[in-house]
Amino acid sequence: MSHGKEALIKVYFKDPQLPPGQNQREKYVDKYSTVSSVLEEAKTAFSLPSSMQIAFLFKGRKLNPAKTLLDYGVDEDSVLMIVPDRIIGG
Amino acid sequence: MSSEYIVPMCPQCGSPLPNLPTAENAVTCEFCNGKVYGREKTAQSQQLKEDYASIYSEVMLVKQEFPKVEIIGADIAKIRVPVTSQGSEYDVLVVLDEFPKDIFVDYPRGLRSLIGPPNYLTTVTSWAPGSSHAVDVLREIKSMANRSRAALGVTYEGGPEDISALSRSFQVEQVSPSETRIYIYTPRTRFFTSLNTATSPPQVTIPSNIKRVLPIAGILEQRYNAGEITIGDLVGRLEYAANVQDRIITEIQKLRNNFVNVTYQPETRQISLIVPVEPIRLQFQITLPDKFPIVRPVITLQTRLKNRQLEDAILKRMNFAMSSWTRFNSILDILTEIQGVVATFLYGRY
Repeated sequence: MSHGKEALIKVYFKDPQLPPGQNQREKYVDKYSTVSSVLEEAKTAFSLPSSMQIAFLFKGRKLNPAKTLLDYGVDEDSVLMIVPDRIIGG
Repeated sequence: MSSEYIVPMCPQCGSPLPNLPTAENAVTCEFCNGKVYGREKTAQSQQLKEDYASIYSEVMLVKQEFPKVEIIGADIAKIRVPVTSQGSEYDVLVVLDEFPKDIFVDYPRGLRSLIGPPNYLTTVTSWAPGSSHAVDVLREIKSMANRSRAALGVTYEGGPEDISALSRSFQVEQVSPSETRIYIYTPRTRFFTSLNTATSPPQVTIPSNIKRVLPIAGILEQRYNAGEITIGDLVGRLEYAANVQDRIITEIQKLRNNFVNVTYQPETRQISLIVPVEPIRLQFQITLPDKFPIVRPVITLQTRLKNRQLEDAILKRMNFAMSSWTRFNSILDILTEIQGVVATFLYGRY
């Protein structure tokens, strides 16, 4: 399924483990793309190994990699927080 | 060092040369005895040549619009551009040493008092390598200098023709013999101010919905009608207030896109919201001071946390972010920093 240029939105990847001022990257992504594909872009943006298991937090909730950004209402200027992909307390 | 030459040849007789000639060290041809100097094209010299070409074309672009541009000394990257603003001339220094990556601009104190320091210019703060041009910066300087003089320096004395200075910066329209409208447009806020010229002195009326959104508009209306400020002051300050309002709208939109239960009270300029990192939900209240965004917002955490260590970490990060506030920061930056502290606490490090 192809989409026009209007599907591109500006989001920010944030890695809270880095110091303030260096922990955010700006990126244009297609809001119809899956969370897993955007996760790969985030890994590239922060030069993280592709084998690393990470997840996004948006509005305090962990995003399911199989769903799309649109499913979660990710829109312009949204901040996608990078966290290790593990169960809390696990 | 890379070179384009693989087999050096004499340019006069075409015979192969014993060594590689360089720009500094000539090689004598064994057949024709001619001295051959090399014209190496290293990556560095090629880059320098491209940089010089882009700076030169940039200076030519400036020259088209500002013909009085002057190159300072032997360096083409430093230029002085006289910018004229309603009778006064200011020398603007533009340094293109880092062009197209960056630009350095400076100008005299007189111009600074009118338009602020160079790092406040939109074209400088949002400089995009490759697509931004020095001429855009100079255009902005010129337009801001004209605008601030028109908006702050003009006095109103009676007839509609006296607000001609305002019409250079604002849309001014005479809708009836007794009413003149001055339109104020910012990217998100559009409204007009009515000037009743039938009365003496003229009286100003600002629509009530605008006074509700911009509380300062009511105060300015009263002060103008009491003869305390000029029409230039009124319109200039209204435009500034509208720009601040634009900024607040943008901030709230960003907060709504990232947090929950975001509410804004325009009368008290208070934002209330929840920053969630499930299962923790942090309630914040943010008060925007009158001089926002120059003065930082007051952010208060209203949720008491059982974990003192986490609460201390949040407050520490919040204080750090607030103390380093500049008008280019956003409230979203501060709150996402806090959200990051909680996320690291809950999910740990990878």
